[in-house]
Amino acid sequence: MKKKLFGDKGLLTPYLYLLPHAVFFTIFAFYPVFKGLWISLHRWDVLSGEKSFVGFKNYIDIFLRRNVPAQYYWEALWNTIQFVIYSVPFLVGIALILALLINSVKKGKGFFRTVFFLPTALTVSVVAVIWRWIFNYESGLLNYILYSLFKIKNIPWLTQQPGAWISIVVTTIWWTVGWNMIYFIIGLQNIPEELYEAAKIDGASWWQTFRYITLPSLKPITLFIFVTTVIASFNLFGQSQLMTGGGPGRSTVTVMLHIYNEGFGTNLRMGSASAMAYLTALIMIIVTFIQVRFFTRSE
Amino acid sequence: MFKRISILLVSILIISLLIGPGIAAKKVEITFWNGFTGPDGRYMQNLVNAFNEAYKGRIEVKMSVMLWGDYYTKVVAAVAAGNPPDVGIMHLDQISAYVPRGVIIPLDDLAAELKLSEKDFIPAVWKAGLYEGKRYAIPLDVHPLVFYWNKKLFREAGLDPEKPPKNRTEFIEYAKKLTKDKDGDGKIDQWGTMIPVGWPNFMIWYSIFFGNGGKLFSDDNKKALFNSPEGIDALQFLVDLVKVYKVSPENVAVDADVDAFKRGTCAMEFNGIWMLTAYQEQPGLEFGAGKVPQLGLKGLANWAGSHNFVVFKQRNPDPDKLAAAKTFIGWVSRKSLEWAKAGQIPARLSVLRSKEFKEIPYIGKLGQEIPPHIIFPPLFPKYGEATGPIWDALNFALTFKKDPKKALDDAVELSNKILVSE
Amino acid sequence: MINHKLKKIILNISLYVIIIFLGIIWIFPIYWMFITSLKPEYETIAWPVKWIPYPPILENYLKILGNPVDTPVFLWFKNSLIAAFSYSFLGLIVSTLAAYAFSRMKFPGRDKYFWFLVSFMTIPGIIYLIPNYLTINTFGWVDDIKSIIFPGLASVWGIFMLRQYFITIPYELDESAKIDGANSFYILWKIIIPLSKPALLTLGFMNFLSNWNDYLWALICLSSPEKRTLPVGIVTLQGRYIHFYGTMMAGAFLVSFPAIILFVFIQRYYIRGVIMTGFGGR
Repeated sequence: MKKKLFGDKGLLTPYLYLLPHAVFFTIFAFYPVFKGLWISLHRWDVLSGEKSFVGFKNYIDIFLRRNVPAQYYWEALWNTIQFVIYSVPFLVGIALILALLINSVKKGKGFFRTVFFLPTALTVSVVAVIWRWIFNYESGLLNYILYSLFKIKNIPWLTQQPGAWISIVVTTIWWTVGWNMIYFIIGLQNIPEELYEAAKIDGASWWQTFRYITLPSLKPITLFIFVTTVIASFNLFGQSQLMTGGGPGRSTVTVMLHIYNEGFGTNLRMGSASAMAYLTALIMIIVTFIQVRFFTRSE
Repeated sequence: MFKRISILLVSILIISLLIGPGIAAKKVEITFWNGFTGPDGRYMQNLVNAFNEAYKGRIEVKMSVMLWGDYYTKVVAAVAAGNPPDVGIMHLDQISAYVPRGVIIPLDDLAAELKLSEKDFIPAVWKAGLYEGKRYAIPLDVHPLVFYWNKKLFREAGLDPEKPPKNRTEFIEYAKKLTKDKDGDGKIDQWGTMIPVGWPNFMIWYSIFFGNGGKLFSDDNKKALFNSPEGIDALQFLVDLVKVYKVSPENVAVDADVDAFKRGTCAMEFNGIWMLTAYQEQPGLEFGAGKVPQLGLKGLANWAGSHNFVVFKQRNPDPDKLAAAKTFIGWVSRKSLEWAKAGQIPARLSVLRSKEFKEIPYIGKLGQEIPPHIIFPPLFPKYGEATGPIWDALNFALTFKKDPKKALDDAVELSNKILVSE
Repeated sequence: MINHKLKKIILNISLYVIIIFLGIIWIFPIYWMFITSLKPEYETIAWPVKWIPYPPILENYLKILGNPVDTPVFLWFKNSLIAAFSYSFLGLIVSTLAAYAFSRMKFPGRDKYFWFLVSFMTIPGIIYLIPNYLTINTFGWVDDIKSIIFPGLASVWGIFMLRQYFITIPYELDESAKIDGANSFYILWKIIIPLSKPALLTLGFMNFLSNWNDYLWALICLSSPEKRTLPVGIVTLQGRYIHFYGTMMAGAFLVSFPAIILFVFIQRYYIRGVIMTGFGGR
């Protein structure tokens, strides 16, 4: 009996369905992983077309801080790690608080949910423009409120530390906490009512209920939130570029911003930029791995 | 035989009639990119429109504008992709970074065709367009650092509003008189001046540094020299204005000085000539604009940048487009009076000395005062990258994180590394 | 007894007070942006602050909208619309076809290939910037709208979500259709798709908004002002009007209000999308 290739029950038919995606996937997701690695082993000048193979030189230069961009890379990495440390606890904690609040009010759940989720509909450049204006030194809203209510004179939010980090963290929280809040809301809604009822019967206080029922039930979604939030914070770009320009000094230059400037700035040093990207990706994967291990070990 | 010749002649005549108008009727379109996103963009567009009108049917110029930061990235990407614009504008200090990478082509023949030479332009800016003996840039304008002062506040402090300070001593003295606590709450609400921790403090520092007789780099551009006593003195002066004389607040953010000058809470300000329009539009602001005071110990130096025309290297050069581009450059260069109205000082001497130019408010005066004192930084490929650490040093010193000597020493270390890297 | 009830009421009221207070803080920046855009420039920097602009002026908006050379907002809007719509539409097609195969067909290597694709979702996006840009360059798509439409179609997330949803559709429907002589495409077109409208709408909207809001990739690929999308366009605005806060806020408002309006309507799809996959697409 001859086996059909196409048409219904054809051997190749399923693959035809997968083909459109496979084409784009191969060109833009699979191939670039290797191409990027290949580029990182070169000195790659797009302008003059000069591409010379240099082996692991780019990576060695980075590790040994042989040139100024390599030095800046490690600074950028440290800045990024700082941002992760400053932002993640708030991005998770505030999201949980908002989710608990929304879950507890009887009326208007949907309305408040929309309010806190709305900023995520904005693009990063608009968010940066708005908050840059709010944090403006001479005439910004925040300094105005601080002065008229508390007589505190102008605080340099964007040009000094810790103001610069505070402004970036606050902006990021306002912009993205809505996502985590939604995850927590769903997580809370998935907790079976029976558990709460049992707790009530046992006479548990609010705190006990929270600690022994709510939190453990939220564990899976919390792991997910932590992992995605850490990754998102690692990828910080727009707020640094548009609000502080990487300043003061270079203290808010993140790895993404540094790699962007190296690879797409006037220097177009794509070889070393690619090497930095791969190095950063490796670090991110390790960090994610550690997080998952930490969460799942304490089962 | 006569018949054959006449047939030949007639055919030639007919053929040329057919082809001739065809050639003449072929319109050449060229693209022109620049970064004039400010109000000056409008004036450049006016010039482009006027050119298109004058050359209707023969040449049409399409102008594209983008942020300067993006402009350099995109133009470079376009050259890499093989289809850059035909004509563009570049800042003088950027040109030498791009010549060795084959981004722009020499324009000596253009200069010769247009009969342009040093005597037609402000000498400093004409000379600056040379790289290794070849000309790569035709100057359009000069945009200097300008000293702005609030005339009303001068009057209130008992100072002559038409006489800005001339040197360091006067500057400090005036600034002290102009720094006041007006409402008696113990906090100063009016400042003599404001020194920002970022842009454009480099230009201010550089003017003082050069005025001290300082030199950024060694002649072979391989060593950084700006941590010399001249450099430290210039930076120390700026820091002292904040710390010692207390005539400038701390931590002045970028553009905070602009807002304060507009509001009348800052009496003297340094900024580019590009701020002129913004200040003119501020209702109630009565101000003067002039050359930078002599804050250097040896002479007066006024930092300036310059916009220049450049022609990009095409993968497949089109001689018609090249010719059209050169025509466009020559034409705009001659008409730079219109550009002056945008708030730039024309580089062309004939325009600078014309009556109409001198009559333009503020700019006319600046155009007479500033050009003799203009300084341009040295032109070599790594200039931009090698001066990056200076910006950081100024920031560290003005935010009191490092003292001026340490800040500049660290910057020189970084700069030297950049200069020797490949 | 009464004490207990009173306690509960106070608790409820305080919860509302807190959440309303937080809600106001959350909405305030958007309100602030809007009213700044309605003030003349000198008023935007004046202290004391005017909380309600009176009279509101439209000058800032006119400055931007009336300047098609420097700030072609309509072009930006058009580009964003075309790109987001194309990406959303094509993405739906590509993802639906693939998800259908994964969920309803049997073929060798099916699960292995699926998890292979899913594993790629863990690769940090940072490594893709440079090689994909060079690929775009080779195709001649730099500064072309294609560069922000096609690369995203490699995404696996849509396939994951739709497969999750398709699996919940009973197989009996397929079987009875097959008995009647239907081929696989017919089943997809006439049965699966109509039953999956909620999921498809969700994916479509999420793709639309993520493409609409994309900043970094559009910044890298699009340079000419007339080719730009709204997120990148507003950065052009910043170069020009950086001190002019009224104008900047007007620009911010013009750029963001399509997204805000869209969002208010589709946010329940978003949340549904999150529930369906167990995670959302950031």
